[in-house]
Amino acid sequence: MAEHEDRELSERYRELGREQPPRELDAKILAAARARPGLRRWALPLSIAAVIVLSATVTLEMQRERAQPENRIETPQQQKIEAQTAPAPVPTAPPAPAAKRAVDVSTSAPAAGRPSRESADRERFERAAPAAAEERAKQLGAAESPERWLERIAELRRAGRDDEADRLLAEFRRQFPDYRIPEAMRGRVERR
Amino acid sequence: MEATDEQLMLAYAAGDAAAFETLYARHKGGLYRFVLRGMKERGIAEELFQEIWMRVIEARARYAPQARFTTWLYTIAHHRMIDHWRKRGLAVAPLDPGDPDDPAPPEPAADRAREPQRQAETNEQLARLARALAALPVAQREVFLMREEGGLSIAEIAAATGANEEAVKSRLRYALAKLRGALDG
Repeated sequence: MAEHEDRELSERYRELGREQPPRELDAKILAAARARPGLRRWALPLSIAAVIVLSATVTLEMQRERAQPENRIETPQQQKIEAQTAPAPVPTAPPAPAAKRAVDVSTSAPAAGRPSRESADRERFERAAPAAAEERAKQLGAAESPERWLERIAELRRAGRDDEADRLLAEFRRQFPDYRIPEAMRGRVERR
Repeated sequence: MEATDEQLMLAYAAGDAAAFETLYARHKGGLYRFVLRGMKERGIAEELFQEIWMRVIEARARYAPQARFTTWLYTIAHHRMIDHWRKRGLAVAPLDPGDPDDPAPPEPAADRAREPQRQAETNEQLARLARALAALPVAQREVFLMREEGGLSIAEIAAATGANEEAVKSRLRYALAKLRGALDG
């Protein structure tokens, strides 16, 4: 019943009239609609070009950043610095804690005469995030055995690099507070 | 197969002006009557009608067919009308049926084929309907017109007006009762 009444009401409503907008109003609206897609024909290629340039830049940047860790050990300059850090007796150069090594790289590079792009980038990165570099150094250091740490400190001490040895020893004590340094080793790692 | 409204709008957004013309032709009449019968003056109705389509044109790049195009179109219309009433300091509240500012009821379209007496009765009935429609509270009239002119469902009207479905059903029920009453004399 209600449905029938609704239908009848709809029919009556339609009989009220089917007014349409005036033609000039149609013309205005259609002209506006035609004008705007024209602009879009330029906007679309421009947007696509912008997206391509941006994507390429981001991709290159990501590739460069990803390449940095591998390059760090392998660049000739890096090897030279490693050799300077660890002179004679130990067959493989004792790696300094990463943070320290990074500082060495960045500060030594100009003295070596030809700063590599990788070291310059890393310096910039680590300047920007010193806390992160320190944290990473701790993690690397913590992965080493206490005996290896002490060997490195002893080497520094023997090379006369007492300040570095002191810093490393202090760091060692923070990392291994319960480690008891053997008497013989203590004589080699502590400042005399 | 005929393109849907949503396909036409996407084609227009991609730069096809002809797609807009088809879309406009489909909806201009319903939307025009919706605005015309919802407002108080023809001049204002035409201004709003134009503004609504300009919004559609401007928003084409952001258009995403999450709902029917018609729902989106009438949502824009609803907001433009609300803005208009607010600017004029009018609340979207029930209108007093005796409000002298109410729009004059449109002249009914006569069916010239009918016999004179029957035609007179029909015209009288339509005149009553037009008066009753004009006298409906704004929210009830809007719901009725969205259904009649836009073909919107209860849920779509709720989405377009920001009201809940129960409120829409209630408004429609009241509107229909008053308009049926007008038809019955």
